[in-house]
Amino acid sequence: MENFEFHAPRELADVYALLDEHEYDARLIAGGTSLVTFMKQQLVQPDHLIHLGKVSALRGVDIIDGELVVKALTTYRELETHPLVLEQAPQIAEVLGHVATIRIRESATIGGGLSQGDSAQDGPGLWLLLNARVVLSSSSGQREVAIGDFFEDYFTTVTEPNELLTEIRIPLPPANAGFAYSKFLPRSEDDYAAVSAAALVTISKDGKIESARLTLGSVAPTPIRADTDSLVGQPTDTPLIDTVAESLRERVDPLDDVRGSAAYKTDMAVVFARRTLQLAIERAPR
Amino acid sequence: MDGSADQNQVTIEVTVNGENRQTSIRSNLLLVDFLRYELGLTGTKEGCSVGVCGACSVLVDGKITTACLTLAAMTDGCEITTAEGLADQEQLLPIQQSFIDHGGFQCGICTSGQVIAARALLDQNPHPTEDEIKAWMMGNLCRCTGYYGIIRSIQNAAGE
Repeated sequence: MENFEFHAPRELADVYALLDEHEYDARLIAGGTSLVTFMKQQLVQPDHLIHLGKVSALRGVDIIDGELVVKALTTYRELETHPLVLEQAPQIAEVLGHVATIRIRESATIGGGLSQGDSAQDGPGLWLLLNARVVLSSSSGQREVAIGDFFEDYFTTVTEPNELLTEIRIPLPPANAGFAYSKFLPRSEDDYAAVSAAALVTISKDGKIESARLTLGSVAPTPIRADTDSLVGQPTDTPLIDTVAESLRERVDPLDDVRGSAAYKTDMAVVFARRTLQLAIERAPR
Repeated sequence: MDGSADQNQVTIEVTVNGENRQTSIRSNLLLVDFLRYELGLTGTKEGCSVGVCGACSVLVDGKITTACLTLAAMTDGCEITTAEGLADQEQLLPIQQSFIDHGGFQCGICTSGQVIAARALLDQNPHPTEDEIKAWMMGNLCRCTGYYGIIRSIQNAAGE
């Protein structure tokens, strides 16, 4: 690992000043579980490393106006075990329980995972499913970005070099929603997925699909959202579920790697999309 | 890399196994190397170097931490416990004695990480179920025991 100048500011204003001064020469570090591996492989070689661990303003979880507001330095483990999440958004706890191992979840942060911009992680597909928004802050103010506009490409987000992701705002999922999350793990339980799929469905009183959302991770440069509009108003066993799943064949763009060929992952994306949607429908209260 | 050597040094103050240390280190020094090479605490092992195997597990402010993915500079102001810091003088902790009594190790390379992880688990959850033990210990690989000895060791130490 190349050496660098290490900064450990305590105030947000100091973080912004360092980003303004060093821009592309600086990287932010929170838990370090992704960035340090990148630095060891010399994929990232910053001249300045800005450690966020001492910035207390970046910690905390709250519910404000029906939204879960998660500050960037919240660890996966903190969020997974947080009483507000367990009571009001248990879907998040379920998914985060599948991230790597507990040891990694004790260090890795929500903001760090988002900023890494890796669609193979569990977070991106979940945040897209839940219509989250991220807040990017800098010395010149802050802006809110819909998660669908946040991820640009492999390991690339719209965050500017002078900006810091300070929090994520997640509308609480409807209490009557059925939820499912599936990962296809051809290697080990703590590995990245070949394909991941998340679905959230509500069923109306007359037993029809009232709303349906489906997102996929690991199969494209960014997480992707399936077009599920055709399912609304349909019976729960509608053949359109297959059509929605099949339509993803044209949307995915996976890589050939140790977890499978691109062709295989494409087939699995369709299978996991269908199964996950069906499972969420099955689980949705009538 | 630019900047002088001084700019790439950082002063940290940490408490390691109860002993206060203030020292100047390279900014890019990993916690595992700080412990092993600067402090001579070789109980913490380095296995995979990518955060998967758990051999380098230590406690930082009581939380289980991957020392091979943590910069020593990030632990400034923290309390660090390594395998060497678990026992009180010659008196082993129940979890350490239990690994001996219940076949929790064979070759021993992963053991300090296993015991640190088990200690962190029991601190948070003094009476874990078998499933909770498996979920927690998933991040600590062992190629000898087949894991059942480790699970037995933790079960037997729980509640002592």
